[in-house]
Amino acid sequence: MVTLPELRDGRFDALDAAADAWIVFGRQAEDLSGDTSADLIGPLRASPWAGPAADAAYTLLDKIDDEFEVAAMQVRTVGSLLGGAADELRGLQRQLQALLSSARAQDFTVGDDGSVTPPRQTYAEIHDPDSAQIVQQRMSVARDYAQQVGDILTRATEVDSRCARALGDLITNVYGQEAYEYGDATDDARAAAEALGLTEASIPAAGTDPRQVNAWWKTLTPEQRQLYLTAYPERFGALDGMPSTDRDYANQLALRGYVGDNVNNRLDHGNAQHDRALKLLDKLERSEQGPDGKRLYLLTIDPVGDGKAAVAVGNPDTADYSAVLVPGVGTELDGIGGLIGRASDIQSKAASMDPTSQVSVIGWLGYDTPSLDEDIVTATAGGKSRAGAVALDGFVNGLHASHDGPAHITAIGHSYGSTVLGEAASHGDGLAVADMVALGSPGMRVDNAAQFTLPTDHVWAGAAVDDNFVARPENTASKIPLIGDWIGENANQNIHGPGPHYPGFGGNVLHIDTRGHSGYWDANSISLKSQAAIVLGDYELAPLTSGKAPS
Amino acid sequence: MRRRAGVVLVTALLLAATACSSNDDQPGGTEAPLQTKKKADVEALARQQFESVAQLAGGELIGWEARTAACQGKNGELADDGRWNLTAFATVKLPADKHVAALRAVHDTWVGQKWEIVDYRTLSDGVRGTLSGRDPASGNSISVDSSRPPVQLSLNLGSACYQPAPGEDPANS
Repeated sequence: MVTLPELRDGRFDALDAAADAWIVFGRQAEDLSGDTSADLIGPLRASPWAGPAADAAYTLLDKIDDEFEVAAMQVRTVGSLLGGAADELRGLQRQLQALLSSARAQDFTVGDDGSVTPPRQTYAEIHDPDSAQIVQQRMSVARDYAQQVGDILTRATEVDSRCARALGDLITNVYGQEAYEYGDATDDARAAAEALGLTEASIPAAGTDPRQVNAWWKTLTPEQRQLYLTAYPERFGALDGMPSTDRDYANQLALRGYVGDNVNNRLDHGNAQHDRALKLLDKLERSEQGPDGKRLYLLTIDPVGDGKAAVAVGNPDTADYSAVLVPGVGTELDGIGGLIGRASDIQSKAASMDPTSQVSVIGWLGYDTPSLDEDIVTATAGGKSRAGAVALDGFVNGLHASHDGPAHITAIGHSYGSTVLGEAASHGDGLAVADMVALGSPGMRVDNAAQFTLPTDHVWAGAAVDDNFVARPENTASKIPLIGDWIGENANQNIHGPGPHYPGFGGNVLHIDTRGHSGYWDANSISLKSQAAIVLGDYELAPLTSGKAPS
Repeated sequence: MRRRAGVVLVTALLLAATACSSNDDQPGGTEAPLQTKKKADVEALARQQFESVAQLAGGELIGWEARTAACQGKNGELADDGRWNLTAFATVKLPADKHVAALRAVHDTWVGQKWEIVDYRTLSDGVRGTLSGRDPASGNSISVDSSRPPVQLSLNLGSACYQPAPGEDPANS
């Protein structure tokens, strides 16, 4: 039990200093993790060193990196707890001191044990006919003071106990040597967050207006944010409107938690989902060793089943130009590497075409794409594109909310991804993008470009001459076999609307020089260059076969 | 998991039924087998071709960036033989008044070397331009574009598809 003298005389500035020291220490550990990655691992990866010795070195260095990362989380959690406890106790101390002052002003005496003694009666009071009533009233006031003192001390004790328990949970012998330790760090942070009243219930629900999410996030202190992210990574990683760096932190932690849980439960061997999670983590970590412009940010992750992910090449919050690349039929988390590669190529080309600007391109596998085998039949009904459109709309709104100032965003949809774009851009308040590009589209679920919420000269589409997945009613001869017939037939029957790559659709028709359904990002293709040019709003570099580019 | 099994089956069927479109990039025609090449050799040739562009343009080559990836077939299918290609980016610092002449010099040289010119234009401002071509001998394609503002040329290159050299796996690196 916290005693009255302890609370009354407590020097919480010392606790503040300790909290600050832990937080600084945590940031140093974060910096050391960054240094390990950039200065130790990066140069080695860039060198030609290979073989068993190199592999052993990388394994060791990765563990050192992990040790610093986990230590940083745990140490900052300690700092947050100490700082939070100091704040709460200081608030109670102020209440106590105000109460003691009030009592003193009325000549009540408050003992160190919390007892309250009323003032002695004066001679006149003793001889007052109402003396008994006066005594009774003073005794009542004394009891009230005592009750209030007791309540404050009880609350102080409760704060002390909560923080003590949370600090006790943080005891650990080794940091970052085992996969499960990231999950431990999350558990510990959750206990600390709850001890400080940062509960899961106070987090905005999924689907909350991203502007509200961003505004709420900005009301928190840096340490509250850090604690929240570490405690509830799955919640914050999926929340549109969160800053991209924080979202990335949360999602990477969630992914590490997933990996750790698999190891704990002996589900890591022969588990393809586990393996692809490790592969994605490796890709993300390696990007930290490269240039800032090519740094990857994990903006969405669902490692289970077909899986979902959104990975940005470059920070979209600070980018002058951003693009969201939406894939189509058959794209699952297994293929996220290919999606990131395409996003990276658009980003590289755009960045070199405008050296004065920062560019970010996001590979957005944020919806359940139709599978080639069983879903392609039901996909014609548009259920997947509608669900994808809602998710994409929220994601794009989130990019606007978290961006530093006005954002210039382009949406690029491939295959069924263009159907998702069309659905999003023709419903509600539309899709908040400057330009929209449809490549290899089976239709965008509208009759023409005028049904979108953006001007028709900002709608771009293209299809390779031999792309049989697209809506191409005049072409029934050169379908690919089997499943391709399904897709081709569905598209040719305008199930999702007419092909946007026809002049009659009303948008700009891009000159496409690539082959097949998947060549639109071939290195050095005009198709790739055109996408980069549209992302930059440098439209003249994108040759058209029909339409007129915005001036 | 059930869906993934289905995709594998479909991919296998597609592979059996369709040729890898990237074969079209191979010297010797669409039916020619893929050459086997070391990643370092393909990178070296790409860098050499970029250096040549920089020299013709009269600027310095900077910012080399390259990645390798698996070659995809016409419908996105992946073969299981590790076939791969190279994508490279770089820039050439160049003052605005040199761009048109630089692109013309590169264009004329490529024509002399029997390159196929895919796109060659001066933009409406008369200062910036764009040039894309393919070298039939190597199968490499290069695009050279004026940046905005016109302070540099943006270069990107796509190689042909190759079989991996022994001990290498560029498709998955």
